[in-house]
Amino acid sequence: MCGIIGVACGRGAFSKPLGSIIKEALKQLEYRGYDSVGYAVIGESLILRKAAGKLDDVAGKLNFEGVDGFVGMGHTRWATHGSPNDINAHPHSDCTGRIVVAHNGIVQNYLELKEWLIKKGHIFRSETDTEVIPHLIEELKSRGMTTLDALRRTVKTLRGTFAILVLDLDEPNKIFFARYVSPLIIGVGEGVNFIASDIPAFLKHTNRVLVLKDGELGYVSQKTVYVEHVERGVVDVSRRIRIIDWTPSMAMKGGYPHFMLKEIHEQPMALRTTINGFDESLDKAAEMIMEANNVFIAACGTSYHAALVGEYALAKLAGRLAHPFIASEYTKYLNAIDENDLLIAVSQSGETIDTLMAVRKFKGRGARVIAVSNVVDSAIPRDSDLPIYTKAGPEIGVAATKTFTTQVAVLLELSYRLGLKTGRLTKSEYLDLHRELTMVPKVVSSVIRRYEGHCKELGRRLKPITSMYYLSRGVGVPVAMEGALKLKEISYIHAEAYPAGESKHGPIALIERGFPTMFLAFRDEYMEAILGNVMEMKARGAYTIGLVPEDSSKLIEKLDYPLKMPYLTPYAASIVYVVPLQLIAYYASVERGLDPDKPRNLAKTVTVE
Amino acid sequence: MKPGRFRALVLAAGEGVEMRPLSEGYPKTLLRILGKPVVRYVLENLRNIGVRDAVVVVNKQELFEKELSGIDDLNIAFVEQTGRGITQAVKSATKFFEDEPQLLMAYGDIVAPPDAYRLVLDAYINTGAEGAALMVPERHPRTYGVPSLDERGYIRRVIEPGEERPEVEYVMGGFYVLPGRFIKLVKKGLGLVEAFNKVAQHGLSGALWTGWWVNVDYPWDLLKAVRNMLSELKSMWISEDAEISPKALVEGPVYIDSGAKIEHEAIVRGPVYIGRNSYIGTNTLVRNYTSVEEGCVVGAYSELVHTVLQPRSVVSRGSLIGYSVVGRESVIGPGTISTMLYGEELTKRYADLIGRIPEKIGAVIGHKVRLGPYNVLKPGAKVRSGVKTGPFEVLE
Repeated sequence: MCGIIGVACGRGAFSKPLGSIIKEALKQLEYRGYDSVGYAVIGESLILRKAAGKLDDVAGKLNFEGVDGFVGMGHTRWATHGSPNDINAHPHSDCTGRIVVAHNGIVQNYLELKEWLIKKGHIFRSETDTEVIPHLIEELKSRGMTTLDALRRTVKTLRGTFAILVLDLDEPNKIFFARYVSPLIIGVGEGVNFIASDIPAFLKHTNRVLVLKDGELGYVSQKTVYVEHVERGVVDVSRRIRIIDWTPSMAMKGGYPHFMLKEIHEQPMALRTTINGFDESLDKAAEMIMEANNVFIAACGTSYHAALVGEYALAKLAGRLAHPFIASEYTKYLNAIDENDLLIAVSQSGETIDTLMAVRKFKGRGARVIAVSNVVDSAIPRDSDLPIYTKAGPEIGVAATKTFTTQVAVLLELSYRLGLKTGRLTKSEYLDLHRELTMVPKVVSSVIRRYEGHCKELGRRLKPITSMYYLSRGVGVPVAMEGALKLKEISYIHAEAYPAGESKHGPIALIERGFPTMFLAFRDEYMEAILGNVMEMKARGAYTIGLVPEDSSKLIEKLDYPLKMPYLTPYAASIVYVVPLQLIAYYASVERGLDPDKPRNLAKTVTVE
Repeated sequence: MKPGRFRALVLAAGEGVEMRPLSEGYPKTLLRILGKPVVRYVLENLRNIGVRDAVVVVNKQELFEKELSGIDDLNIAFVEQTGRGITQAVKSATKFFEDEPQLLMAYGDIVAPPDAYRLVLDAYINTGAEGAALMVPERHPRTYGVPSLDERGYIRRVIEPGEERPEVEYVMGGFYVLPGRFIKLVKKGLGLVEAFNKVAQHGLSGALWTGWWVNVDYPWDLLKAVRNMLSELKSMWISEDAEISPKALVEGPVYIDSGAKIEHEAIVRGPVYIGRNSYIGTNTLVRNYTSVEEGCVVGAYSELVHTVLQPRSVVSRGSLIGYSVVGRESVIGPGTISTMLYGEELTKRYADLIGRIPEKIGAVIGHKVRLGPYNVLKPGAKVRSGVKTGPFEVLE
């Protein structure tokens, strides 16, 4: 996920240098990615500048204000292929430096293209997937094609998703573009044209927009817009230009009223990308666990709940004890740590200060560190011996959703592989578990579609309540904790989760008529016990809601509001079950008139102790 | 290159079979809630997202022209529907859209906040799909068309009730951005759903609206719409030329329009809407989620709760009307009581409509009805338009 902007303006269209205009646009696009920034401008010559870091931090170094010209483009990056550094930052150029490309999306077949281009003598500088594009255009042009022909051919060759901008010194007045899936919108101004990932990037200058459709490519210059479809030829766009009178929501919301809802719906995709990306780093991690004396897992908030699922799977499937702890409590164990120990640090942002402190202190005592994070090369992965990445894409909603489910997927696969290595799992047991995990994205997608109406209905019913319990046993306990946290943080309803067996040791005293209680039951040894817990709550008048296996007819009969969950092992189910809990919390928040994307008193990344 | 604006097609000519008796002789999209006809909310929402030209398909043009005049910044062309059914409705208006590269199509019987409409346009602009459509989560989708979604969450087809349906809890929300091709297909003779499914072949972006949304189909949908809209009313607004007795008690979020008169000892407990020139008699109690439209009279010692009175209707002295809708210019005789259905009995009787009915149901009274004194309205009673009753009648 990245943000791109192109401006074709001729000379003197703005009272400021073109570099400043690009910088302002990039600021509007920063939400799409913020790990590196770059731009290219054609004026006297082609100037290309880029750097790793946030826009505000590197703006001075990049000297936007000092660069003017008549066409230019900018890029703000979210790393997917290659860590965020100056070289991997966009735009990327061909061997001659005459063609530069900014790209948002993923080129799936870049490895084979890269190999082929290297054989043709092209020299690659970065680790990105994007760099194949300028070289491919260069290669095709060297065979006599025009830039546009070369771009068309390139679009036909690429597999994946993309919004591409190309500057070519051979046709210095034009910005070439192509779109497939990733958004790209033309802003039609007076003597200046824009092209960007999102309307707010140019809304200050023009409100006349032309939305490009999948498969369209062409170029914009100061006064012209040319569009063709990769298969269907020239497109008459003159009647497609529309005036936008409202401030459109950020493009990344793409049809959802809130980022949180979008991210809940993105989970099948995020899980698939993460699971497809499992590599040998998980085997290395398994070996590190085997070699270690003690294993600890440090995390905060939602990540801590993922850590607890990981702990359960490690113990139950691989016979390996790990001590999960809330990262801010790290001093408890420090005295017991030495160089034979291992810390697994789980942090979405990789910048969580408490987790980072734990990592540093553990390292200080010689322990080795594995990091599980969603942000490539952030502080915690950088400080670790082995980083493992979830591939959930940027998460903007403050309440973690897709990063939780992908963290759990990583920790489960790690436990499965460890189980195989330690011999606690047979090859076929491992394969069954692994295969089930690869099915999870599809199951999550069907659960969302099948139960979103129910979750909205439950959200409506929970609107007036002040308190709620989430109960389960086994692997369900951390899932229940995560469900309770979601309800607390975005709908401000007090919620508490605990192992269901604890009810009679205290909490049941709070139960009165209509007190909502959520039960999570899995296909495991606790089914009968959960039924008993449902009965004891019902007997005291609780309103019982439950996520239960579809064949557990006894539970379904007893619960006031059962939701039938698909046939899965408790491990895979821990990912699937949390999804309706996220939706219920989301709808409770919306029903209460709150903004789930902006919970009070909370920040996305906690960087202060 | 000349920029244009989205042009909208609004379908407002529905027969309103489910709305009877309120649709008898009167278009259901012109029924009033909170001072405006239902379809006016659709048009104002479209205006708020930048639409300047709307074509409205109607079945009683002069009525619509009168009720929809004076919407700022919106030119409305009316088209009388030829033939029956929604496909015919679109067909009646094709000539306005022949040159349009895309069009907005809105159902005239949907009441939702403007953000729902904006969401669809945003989805269209941001995804690059050929079009976009509003989807709404719904636990009981049975009476609606449901979308069949692909992996990306794009709509590939709409499946009508009666066909075998996928397990999805979304329904089509009645607002679309469609490619111009759609109009050509309808003109060629395809049905509305067929034409939609054809243009959705490569996927239309689904905009998932999670706020409130009401399809005004059944009389109690009016109550639902009023409830949602009044819930958004956060403060009291009283017109300067409303006349409120210093001995009346007005509390909570209440909207009192110009010329309304509230007599001594009346209690108006919000959220409530009191329309233009309406009259609330002494010692009456107007309770939550009630919408008293223009020119109504509520006699002394009456009580209203969760009720919509259509314009110029009269509730005579000492009546209790709850969870009910009273048609235009109807007169409820003094001492008339509406009884309510709720709980298990309600769910038993309306089993096919669970999820669409409110928690209680009173009566539905058509237009120009004259009820004699001391009638009893049984729960769920429907009184046809123009009916006259004597004293002490019990109405089913």
